[in-house]
Amino acid sequence: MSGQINRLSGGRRINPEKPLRFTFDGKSFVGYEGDTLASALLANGVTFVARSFKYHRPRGVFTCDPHEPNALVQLRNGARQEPNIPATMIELYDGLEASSQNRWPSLRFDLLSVNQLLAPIFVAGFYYKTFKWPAKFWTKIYEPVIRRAAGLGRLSGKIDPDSYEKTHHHCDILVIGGGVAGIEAARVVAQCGARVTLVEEHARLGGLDSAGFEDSIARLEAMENVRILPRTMVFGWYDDNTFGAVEQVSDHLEVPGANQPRQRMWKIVTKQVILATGAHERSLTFANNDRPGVMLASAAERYIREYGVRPGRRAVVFTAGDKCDALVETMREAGIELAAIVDASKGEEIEDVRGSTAVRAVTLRGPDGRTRTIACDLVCVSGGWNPAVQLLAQRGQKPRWSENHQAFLPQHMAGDDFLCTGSLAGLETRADCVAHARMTGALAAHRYSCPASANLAEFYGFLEKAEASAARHPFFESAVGGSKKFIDLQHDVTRGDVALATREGYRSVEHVKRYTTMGMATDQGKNSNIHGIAAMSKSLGKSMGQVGTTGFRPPYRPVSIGALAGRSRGRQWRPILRTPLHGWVEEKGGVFVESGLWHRSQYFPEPGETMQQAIKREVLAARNTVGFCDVSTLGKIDLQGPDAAAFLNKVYCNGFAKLPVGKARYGLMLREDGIVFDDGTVTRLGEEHYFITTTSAESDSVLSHIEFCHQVLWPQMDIALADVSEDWAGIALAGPHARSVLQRIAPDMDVSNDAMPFLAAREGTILDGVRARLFRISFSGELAFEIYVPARHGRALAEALECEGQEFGITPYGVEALDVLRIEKGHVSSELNRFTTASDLGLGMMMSTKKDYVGRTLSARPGLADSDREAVVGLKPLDPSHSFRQGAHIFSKGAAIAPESDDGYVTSSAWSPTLGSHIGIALVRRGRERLGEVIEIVDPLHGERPVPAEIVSHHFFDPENERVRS
Amino acid sequence: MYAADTSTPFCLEGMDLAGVQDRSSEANVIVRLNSDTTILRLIPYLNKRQAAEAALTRFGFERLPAPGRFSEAGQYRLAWAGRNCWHLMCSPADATEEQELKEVLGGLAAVTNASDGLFRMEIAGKDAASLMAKGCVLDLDHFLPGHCAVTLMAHTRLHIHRMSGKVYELMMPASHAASFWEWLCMSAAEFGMDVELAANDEPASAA
Repeated sequence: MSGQINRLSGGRRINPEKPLRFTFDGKSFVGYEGDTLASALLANGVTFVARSFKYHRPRGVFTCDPHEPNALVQLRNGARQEPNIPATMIELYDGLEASSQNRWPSLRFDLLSVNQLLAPIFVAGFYYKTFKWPAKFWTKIYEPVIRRAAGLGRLSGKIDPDSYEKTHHHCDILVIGGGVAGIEAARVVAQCGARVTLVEEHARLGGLDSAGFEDSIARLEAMENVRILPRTMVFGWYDDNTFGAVEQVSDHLEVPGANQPRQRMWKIVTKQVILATGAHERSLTFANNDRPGVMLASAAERYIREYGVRPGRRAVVFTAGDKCDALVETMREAGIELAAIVDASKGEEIEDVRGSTAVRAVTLRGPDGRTRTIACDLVCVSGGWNPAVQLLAQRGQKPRWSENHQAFLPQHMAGDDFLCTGSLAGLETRADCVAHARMTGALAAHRYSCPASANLAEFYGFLEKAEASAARHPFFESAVGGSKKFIDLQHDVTRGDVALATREGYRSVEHVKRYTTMGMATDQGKNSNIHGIAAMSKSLGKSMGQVGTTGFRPPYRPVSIGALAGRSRGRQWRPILRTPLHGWVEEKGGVFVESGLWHRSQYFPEPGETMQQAIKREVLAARNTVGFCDVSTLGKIDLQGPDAAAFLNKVYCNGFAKLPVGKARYGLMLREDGIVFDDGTVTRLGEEHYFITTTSAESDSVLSHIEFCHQVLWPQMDIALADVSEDWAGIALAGPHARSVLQRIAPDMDVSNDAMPFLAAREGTILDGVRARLFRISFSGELAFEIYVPARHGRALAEALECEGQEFGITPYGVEALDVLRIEKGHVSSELNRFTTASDLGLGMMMSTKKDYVGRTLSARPGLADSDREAVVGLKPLDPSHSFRQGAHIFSKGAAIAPESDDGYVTSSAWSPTLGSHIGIALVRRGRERLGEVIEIVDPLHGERPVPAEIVSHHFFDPENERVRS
Repeated sequence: MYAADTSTPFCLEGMDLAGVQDRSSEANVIVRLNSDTTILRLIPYLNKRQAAEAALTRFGFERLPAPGRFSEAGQYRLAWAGRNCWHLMCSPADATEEQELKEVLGGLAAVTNASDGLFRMEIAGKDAASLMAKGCVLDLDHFLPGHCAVTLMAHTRLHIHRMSGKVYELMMPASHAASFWEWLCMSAAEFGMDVELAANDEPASAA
């Protein structure tokens, strides 16, 4: 016990055989296995552990619980550094490093404690009153200074090296809370065979006092149908009995074990829940009630009994009527001198606490008004108990005030799928908690349709009887004493702040909370709310019930962002989709670009080449020799059935009824509102069999749309739709030598112009027996084919093309070159931007006048036929070397650069190696009437100089389509 | 000459398939990769379901399984795969099955070959369910052998078949396989994971 001046023998959780070294603020200490950082610090006589948020007042350990408001520390160093961790929840491990926070340069000598002198300024709402002018000072001076002065701990700024994960869990009965009530309820209900999950936020079951329940815990742990999740905090209760919980898998270790996450978020779905969340002891409001050495009575008792730690040597107990017999007995056994019990129910109060970094004495005022000062170093406070109603309140239950209990209780103790028990239900003795928990467990088992007997009348009767016999003394604050009386220890909200807020007209507890920040700290008001409500009750002359509580929302207590993200971070934040050619592209040194979820080949640089040089080479290869491009990402839909042709006629605006077998056709699909939805190709493979391609970007939405059309609009149509996008690898082969190369890999198929003219389609075998679909389709404007093979043969197809095309100078090209090729050709792509009509795109002639189709009616709206609409045109800068960007705006020459004279915008732009000029496609108001007009391309966003350009046809290259038909 | 390499599933090309063996004890999860299965997607035409069922007796099935169920007959498995859609699976793969099924179901159902589009893996072992639970929202205690589902796991829409007590089979879009594999390796690390490349595995049976 070297150095552990306050260590006692016999702490239930402590293993004195296993000493553990740790440091706090750089100083070395020793604790024992089973200690928390708080208990170990107290054992070593360290009672001053933190500075408060606003005033930087010295603070000590106040609770033994997760909602500790004072002893928040910075844990670990480096990338694993975590701020604002309650020392009461940090399980000690060998080598633990922790430091105090919110102080500079040191905890004892904190320059920012000067804030205490500025307390008259830092009252409730001081932001709003004090820093109002000059306005620009707020963001540049006031806020940074305030944040620097008032912050708590700091993040490391480094990437967290640990992992977090999520898991799903289903059970029949979820028991929240592993105190004696939770243990007994779980044990009883589990006997019926139901799948029971017991969640406890502490490392061990037992709650405040597990003495005598070791057997129950052991029996529970031995049951195969029971799952116990220690170190797990239920933070939220969501719809359909889904609960969010965080398991602190490795937080009690210096470094997570091999392959272990630091934390795991559980999504638990249950049929029923037993809430045994317990109650939180509350403090009392009195002058200087925040001094190190002021501690909740139950915390003092648990430090002595559970951890073998003496939190002080001479104690004063301040109670609102509790006899605190157990505490008194525990202190006596621990050799702590009990200097006085101050019982508010007898008219006694603490008027002041003396001391700064530690309690030195208290001044008491008796019922006769006489005062006396008693030397002490520990003040144990017991103001009663607040049932932990937060989870119930998350489901919309407004807690009800019980005069007898002087506490807010659950409005409903039972519902169709939940039962409350233990001190949450207002029960004050362990015997009552155990008896009612067993009754609750039996009732839950009954609900689970097991042979057990229980009824709600008995359940409620028990609680009503307990409430009727309760007679708590209504006392929350000491009326005497002039110094600061803290309501919210963590946010430094005082009794005076609440009084000020009510004087300034705030009446709602929700408004007072936000104005004063009471209850908005990491403890979420578990220590403070009741005292804020009591103070409002007094100031406003309303009852506690009339003031009411604030709302409670998830999380019950802070949850790390890492736990919420789980594995979805870094590369895993969303799936990366790979085409069947991915490996081949990698092997060829291709550069990938994210395109939606896909990783597509962007370009294939040769050694020393820039991206632009590579794109130019790839474009010229496709134009002059032959190139090929991975188009596997295109959406592919298989359509079969007797009504397939009729169905296509309805979903596309152009006709398909007469499309011959073995032919493909460009298809344009409108939305119901007449706007263009998507384009693609439809190929008739058989009398009742079609193969549809969609754009890569809209593949899912097109499938959903036509499934909707089939399932909802025309369910009588006899068709079968299948998404076959993943089944096929696709490669576009383009260039003057495309046919020659194709013939080499498909020697058994006649791909001559006669046998396979433009828009022809054939099925057959290539690559020595691989089944394939060939389509004479061109996106590049060249003689081109799209070749589809079963996905696993994608790489083999690419290798074959590369090998057989070598003689012709075949070159793989990526999506950048593909985009240049299609802009040169004038094919629309990014122009389908959910605002354009077929007419805007120059495709109005595709809209059939002989049939009905989706979007036909609304496409005739006057607004969509307005001659003033923007139409697709080409742009060619007067100086071919002048570039411009997609998104730049079009203005008439000499027009003011203002929104009202905006004539459109650039939708696509590229350097055309074929034309030796920058070119673009744009949507320009009355564009087709303005061919030949010189306009200015303006890009105010990038601050670039206007580029004069001529409006031209967007079919820059081979407008007569000679090459695609060659 | 240009035949596809079948030793590694094409959609996992370049991925580390060594498994995760950082633990001292043996792996509690075994992942078996199987690309040697024919998966045929069949969609009955309007009012042709009964006739299609009758035709499927050729493959040993008397009816199309109800939603969420699959059944097995010899080397075949017939599984519900979504609204009015079923998968007929044949393992080991048989190139003639597609044509045969098309002939049998001619005029009764559309048949397409999903063997390449769906990547198939089996997850087995003591901690298979715990691993599954990390990504799957299903109540696996009530997801019994013979049950199947179309659901999400690790951002991926996939088909899950419960084969036996501790054996699950997953079928996912091939494009998602690599991303899913990364998630799987990370999630299985705490259990230890062995990987088996099964060229010709025996069909697992639903109890």
